[in-house]
Amino acid sequence: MSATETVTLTIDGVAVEVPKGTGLVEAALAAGIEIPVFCYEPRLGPAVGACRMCLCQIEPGPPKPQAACTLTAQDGMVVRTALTSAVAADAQNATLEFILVNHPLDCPVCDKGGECPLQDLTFRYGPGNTRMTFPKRTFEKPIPVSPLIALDRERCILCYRCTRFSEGVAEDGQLVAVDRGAGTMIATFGDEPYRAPFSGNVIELCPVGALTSTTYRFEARPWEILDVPTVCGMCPVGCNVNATTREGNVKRILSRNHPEVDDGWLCDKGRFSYAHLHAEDRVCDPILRVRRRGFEEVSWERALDEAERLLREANGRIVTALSGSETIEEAYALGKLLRRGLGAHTAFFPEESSDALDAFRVPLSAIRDADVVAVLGDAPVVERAPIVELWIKEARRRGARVLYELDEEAVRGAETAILVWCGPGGHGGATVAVLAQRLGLSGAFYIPETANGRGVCDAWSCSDDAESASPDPIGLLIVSGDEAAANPDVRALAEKAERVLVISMFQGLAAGWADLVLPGTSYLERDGTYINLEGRVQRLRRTVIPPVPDELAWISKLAERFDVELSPYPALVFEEVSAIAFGGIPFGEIGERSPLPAATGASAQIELGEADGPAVDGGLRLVRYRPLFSGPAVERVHELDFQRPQPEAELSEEDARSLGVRNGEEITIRSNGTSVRLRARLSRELRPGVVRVSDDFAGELKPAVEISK
Amino acid sequence: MSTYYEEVQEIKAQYPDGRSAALPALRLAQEKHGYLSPEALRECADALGTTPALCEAVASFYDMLHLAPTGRHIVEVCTNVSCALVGAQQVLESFEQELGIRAGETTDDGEVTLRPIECLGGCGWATVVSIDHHYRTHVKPADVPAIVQELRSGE
Repeated sequence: MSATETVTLTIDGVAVEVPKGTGLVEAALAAGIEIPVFCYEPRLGPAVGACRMCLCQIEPGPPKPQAACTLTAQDGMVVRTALTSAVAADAQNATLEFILVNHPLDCPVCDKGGECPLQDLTFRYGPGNTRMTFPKRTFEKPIPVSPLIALDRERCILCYRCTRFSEGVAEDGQLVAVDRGAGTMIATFGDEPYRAPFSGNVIELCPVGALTSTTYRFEARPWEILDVPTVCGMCPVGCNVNATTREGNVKRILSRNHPEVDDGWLCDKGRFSYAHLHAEDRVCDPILRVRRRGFEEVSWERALDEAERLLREANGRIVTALSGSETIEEAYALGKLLRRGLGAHTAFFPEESSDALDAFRVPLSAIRDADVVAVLGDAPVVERAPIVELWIKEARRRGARVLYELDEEAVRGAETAILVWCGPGGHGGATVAVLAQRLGLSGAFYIPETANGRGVCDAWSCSDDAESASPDPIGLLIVSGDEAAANPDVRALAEKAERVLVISMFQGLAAGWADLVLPGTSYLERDGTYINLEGRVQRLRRTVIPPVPDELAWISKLAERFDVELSPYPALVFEEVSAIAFGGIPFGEIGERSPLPAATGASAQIELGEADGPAVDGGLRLVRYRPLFSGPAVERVHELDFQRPQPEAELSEEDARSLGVRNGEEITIRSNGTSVRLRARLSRELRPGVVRVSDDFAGELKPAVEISK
Repeated sequence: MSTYYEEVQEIKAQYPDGRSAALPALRLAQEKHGYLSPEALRECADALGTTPALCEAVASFYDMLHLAPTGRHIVEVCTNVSCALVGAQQVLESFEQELGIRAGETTDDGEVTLRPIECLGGCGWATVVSIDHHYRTHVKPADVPAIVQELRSGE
């Protein structure tokens, strides 16, 4: 590739050379000069120049200040910001005075106060006092945009960041500007809530205190909080986040832009689920089943004695059901204790995993730059790995063809094509790799169902080399984590087990079927590592001290009793795993924005044949999916209840046409014996022959269904 | 007779992006419902394949789309610059007095809605008043009683 073409311009007398096409705001930053902005945010698409804060004197150009954010750097351009131009300084001062005409002076009670761009820029560029002696505009406040977001219209400066996000990034079209000119207001439709998976991003985008989080409102002030960088553990994307903590409690989750992973966006599940740390039914002490009295809380010493007894009595006939949300260290520790200490090699994983796709490893951001994105597997990407959906949407906006049915010619003909598999038949990525190899692709993704399923599986297999047959009958079933405890297949396994040991955060999940419950911790309370769906090893940090010892602490204690050497420190455990699985990289080197390991050489041979979606003759194939807003943590955060799926069925436009079904119409979906009635939602993101319904509404429907009006 | 949904599909087919059909689709919905009620906006959104919120955003921008019920007659007084310079405000006030309502309101009998409106494109004939979409030009406050009389008598 040839060297990037550059242009040279002068900003406040400083000559600066930047790549052609660089915006003036970025060009100024390169020269160490700030052009202040409110509405400018490149991630929202083309600049709109709505707020006028960036006014600069620019030559060549008209003899009046221009909105710098809407311009790109040109050779020979002379830019003078408020630093060196009285005209620009006047213009910025006037802009701020104008914005402040109706902006209330309620900073002392405003959540944004202390971390507010309007406050900061007024301090630096604005008028010291006001000439306005008349009353300011007032509105009813706060308006609940949703159970998660409060709107204070008085504070809004109409920068349109939030509505641009809603329409142009998340493409949900829920948050809009109604009316016109000075009367414009940010609003949803009528009294309807802003119900969309990415709604919370507008809170972070708002440059004033107009959109605030209902769960953070009046909870903390910026000077008494501590942001801890960690990684979200709610889905396999592993968005980089900052957990804002105050006095040992997580108060909010903010994005921490990793440009290859999340581009600074978060879904509402990742942003708002933190309240599960304080769930009413949180298990804070070990619970032991006692013959006559039912259950009793016991000391840790007693609990470890009981755990040791359960492990010894099982005589190696142990099955471990994993959640896929354990850290690598935790899964390894559990594996080492059980496999080396007790010869218990049998594990029940939440899903298949495979390293076959490592040969096609690219960052998620590669989706954005592709010409063709093939999204196969039929399950909705947004419900499993929401941020991936945003990358796909961005690719489409940039002109990529997004296919929901494999068109080999289009894929082969593309300069860069990316494959995203979400749904059954992917075999943890193995069949996807076969397909990627056949199509000659450089990048492919498989979207797993669990946050760290791959890491847990790898860690378990690193922990010992020996194997054994599955025990029958099962002497002891160890249920590791809440997702496993909520899994019906694990419950079925428990029916066949003589004893059950459950590690869980929540009493509601553990009570009733466990002989011993050991308290679990959340991803926000653990130090350790996860592997995301790209194959990136990312670092989780303990953002707050959990009310119970973490898993590694007591697993290592228990290990001592079986003469297994195990450190209670994640860094040391990771080093053991790393030596086997990650080429020996030390814990400390993973960093806050971890890099993606290079793709491995193509595997010599990948077994497995065709993808095996069940074929359905005639009629339609039902794909049921687990909705994003579900699972043990989400169910304990009531503010998220309204995000549960609507009673809708997604149909392709082609099928709808041939069935004579309209968007929004009630339809009946039938499979032998049962039927459900749902609203039809026509989708261009679904191939013909498939109908999609969330688990909440699919009832007893079988995979082959018929639709009638 | 084709239904609203089908008509909108036909209009959508004329544009590369179906959402471009928002204005004609909203106008059709208004004709059907009388004004753009929440139900009308929902119906429009379903037919367009977009959200009711985006339909409302568009509808609330344009003066010719009504988000509230209107009277049988609509009197719209231009209050933009040219008309304002020759006394549009006084014309509007005369209508208020004559009809016994404030601008933006509808008479109790549901006959007449009075509203100020943005430029009607008749700056050379200021003040322009639109009566049921027919222009009256050079309107003076003194002309207002006769216009109202005319409306009331149902001509």
